[in-house]
Amino acid sequence: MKHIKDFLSKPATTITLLVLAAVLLIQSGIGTTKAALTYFSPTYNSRLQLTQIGVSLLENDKVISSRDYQSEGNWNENNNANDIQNTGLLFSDVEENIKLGKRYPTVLEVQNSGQIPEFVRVTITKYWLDENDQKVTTLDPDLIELNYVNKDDWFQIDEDTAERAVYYYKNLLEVGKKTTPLIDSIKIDGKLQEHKKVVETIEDGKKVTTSYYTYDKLKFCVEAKVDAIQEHNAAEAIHSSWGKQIAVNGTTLSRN
Amino acid sequence: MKRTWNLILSCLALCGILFFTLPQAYAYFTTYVAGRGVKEINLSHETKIEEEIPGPLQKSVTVTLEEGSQPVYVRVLAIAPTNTTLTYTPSQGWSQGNDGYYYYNTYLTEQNTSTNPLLIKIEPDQENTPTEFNVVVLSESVPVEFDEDGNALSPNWGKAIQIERGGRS
Repeated sequence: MKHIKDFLSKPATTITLLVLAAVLLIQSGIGTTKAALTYFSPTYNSRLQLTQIGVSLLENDKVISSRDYQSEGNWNENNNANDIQNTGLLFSDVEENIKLGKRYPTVLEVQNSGQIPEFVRVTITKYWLDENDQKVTTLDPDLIELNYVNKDDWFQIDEDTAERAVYYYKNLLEVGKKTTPLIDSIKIDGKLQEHKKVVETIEDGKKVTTSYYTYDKLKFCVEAKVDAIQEHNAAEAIHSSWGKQIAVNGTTLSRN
Repeated sequence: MKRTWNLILSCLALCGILFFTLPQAYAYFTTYVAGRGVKEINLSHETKIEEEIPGPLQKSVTVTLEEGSQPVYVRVLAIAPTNTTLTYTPSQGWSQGNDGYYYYNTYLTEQNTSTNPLLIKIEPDQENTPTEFNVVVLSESVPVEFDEDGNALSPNWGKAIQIERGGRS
């Protein structure tokens, strides 16, 4: 510590550091000035782009939720949620008494509801909940079967986990356009009813045996989260915002 | 004093160098939306046997599905002493299996909760008729399994399931 103090106290060191700081200050000032000049130049004004990004999640052609930028930090958010979690509600077309083994149509797509082209990705998470809405980690999420389609248009970077899968849409999504469907149906595996519990109790001196299905009254949960990002400088934007290195070739994304 | 001023200026210069070499931060236009779906699974089912006595030594048996149950197939078997003959008169929907059970061809649902009656005539052996005997009617059910189109599959009465035995109290 004494050595450091001695070094920093030397006049030569002080002058050198001051000169270096001054050079850096001037350099950053030049960059800023150049940007200011560019902003006010007629050429910059004519190239001013709209910045209203927006995206919507659709299920069976109905908007489940959307979020579109308006202006001055205001967003137009819309979701058809009737629950307290403020997210759109999936599976409203699925009957209440689910038939195990039956495949229910659930077409998930993404639409560009903003004013600029964008790239999108979708994160699908699925898991089981008990009657108290606590996650059940002992039951395989793969019993919730989602049918992924259009695998030529959607690609993955990371391997799926049992609960989570992330898909990137390969093509740039123009304003107003929809992706091809990512998922087209859901099915709950009938294996759920192959496990029973038998409990014996003594009531009024008599043995009472009760059997019940182990997974009765459990709930399955599927979440779909859509991220959208600007087209301009997409590779840097994706790396900065999503933490992924993805190759951008014109209007197409691909694994790096 | 001079040494102290040199130290202070050096530290300030160092801070300035660090500040100006920090990479510039860029903001990108992003947005996100989410959807969530939750559905409950109902696996439980309960059936009830209802018996009527339409005449002497006769039973009319109906099986009923309790409210809130998942769809099930049912079958019935009557058990009597060995010197007693049972004669079944099935109404529409019942058919005899090779194993002595009578099977109801249609599965029960919340819309179709009850079978048609199954009439059982009881004929004890005339020579060795006990003064009292029991005829027990047994009803069993299995949940309906569906294919991907929602069509009910044939019932699997011999399907093995995993049973976990719990505690006693």
